[in-house]
Amino acid sequence: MDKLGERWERGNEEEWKLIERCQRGEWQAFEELAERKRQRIFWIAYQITGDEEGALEITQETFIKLWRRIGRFQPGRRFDTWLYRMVVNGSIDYFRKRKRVAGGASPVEGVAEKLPSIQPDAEKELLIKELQKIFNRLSSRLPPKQRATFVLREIHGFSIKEIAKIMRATQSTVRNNLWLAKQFLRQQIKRHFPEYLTWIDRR
Amino acid sequence: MKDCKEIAALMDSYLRDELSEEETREIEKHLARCPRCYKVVCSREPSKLFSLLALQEKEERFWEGFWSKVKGTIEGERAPVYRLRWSYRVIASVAAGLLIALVATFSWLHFHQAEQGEAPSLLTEPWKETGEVLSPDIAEELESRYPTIDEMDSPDLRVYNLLLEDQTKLILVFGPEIDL
Repeated sequence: MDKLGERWERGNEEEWKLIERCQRGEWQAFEELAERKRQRIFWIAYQITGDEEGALEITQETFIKLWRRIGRFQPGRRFDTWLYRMVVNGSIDYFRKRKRVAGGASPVEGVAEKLPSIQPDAEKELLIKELQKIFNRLSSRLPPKQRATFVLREIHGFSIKEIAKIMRATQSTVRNNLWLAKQFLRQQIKRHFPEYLTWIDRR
Repeated sequence: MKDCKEIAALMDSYLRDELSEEETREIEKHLARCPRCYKVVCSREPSKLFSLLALQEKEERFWEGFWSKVKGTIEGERAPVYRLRWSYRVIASVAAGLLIALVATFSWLHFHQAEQGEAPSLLTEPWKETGEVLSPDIAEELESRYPTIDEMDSPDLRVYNLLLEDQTKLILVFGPEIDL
């Protein structure tokens, strides 16, 4: 087993005990497991949908589904892949539904609008918040699967192999989606956010 | 741990996503703590800027009321999820018990009748296979109408006229030299 595999196994050992307790109907174990995953689930959902309320709803729905389905979870399967698949699918469905309701245009669309202004002396936390707004604007025109692939790989650091499992796609499809998303964002950043290099220097 | 020079040498492959998972993680670890290399990466691939978004966390205040909706929805299901697992076990155990009892009863009946020299009642007779319910008189008459063997004597030959249980007629003719 390679180092990555070992790391994964070790990290999962404790989680496995929690999962087994959840399968026996222990609510306390479920809360503990959910606490560990809550932040990441929320941010993945938010970065795919660009909608804070929607992301919160997706996070809650994911935990409701998790409780209902955890009894069927089989040992030997990777819990994170299974869990994040629920999040990504929920987020993509939400994104598509919202687009349909809005008549094909996402409310966060409109990169021509003025992007958030960045104050040179702003705190790091504030700069990141502004960067999040920029990402929401620029990525709102990406197809949902490309956006989800970019979020999982470039923001949350999942490997291509893990993303392929989460999204039930081949690794070449994942690479292709990632390449398209990066190419689109590169062009958008250069066009709508030319001061990005200055922005980096402020870090 | 790789230094900046080694990272620079791997940069092209990293930006093309051609490195192994392990090498990619090492580079990303380095980028997280080395602003100089991070700036180089961002200048070559501006979309790498967004990797900073991983640093966000929502404060506790944001999560107020979060669990009330989750709990409210699944509160009623909490017990059923647990009970369902038991009820499956109970149903499976009762079904298995009934099946074993049924098989045991039929086996005992079959062997008990065989021991007492009776034809096992569980084996059906040809004229009773139609599923008709016969009165004991009619059943007796039918049984006498279908003898299983009918022996006929002639001066030189002996003829056995057999009617098998499936109502096939079998006639056996033996000469005088055969003595059964």
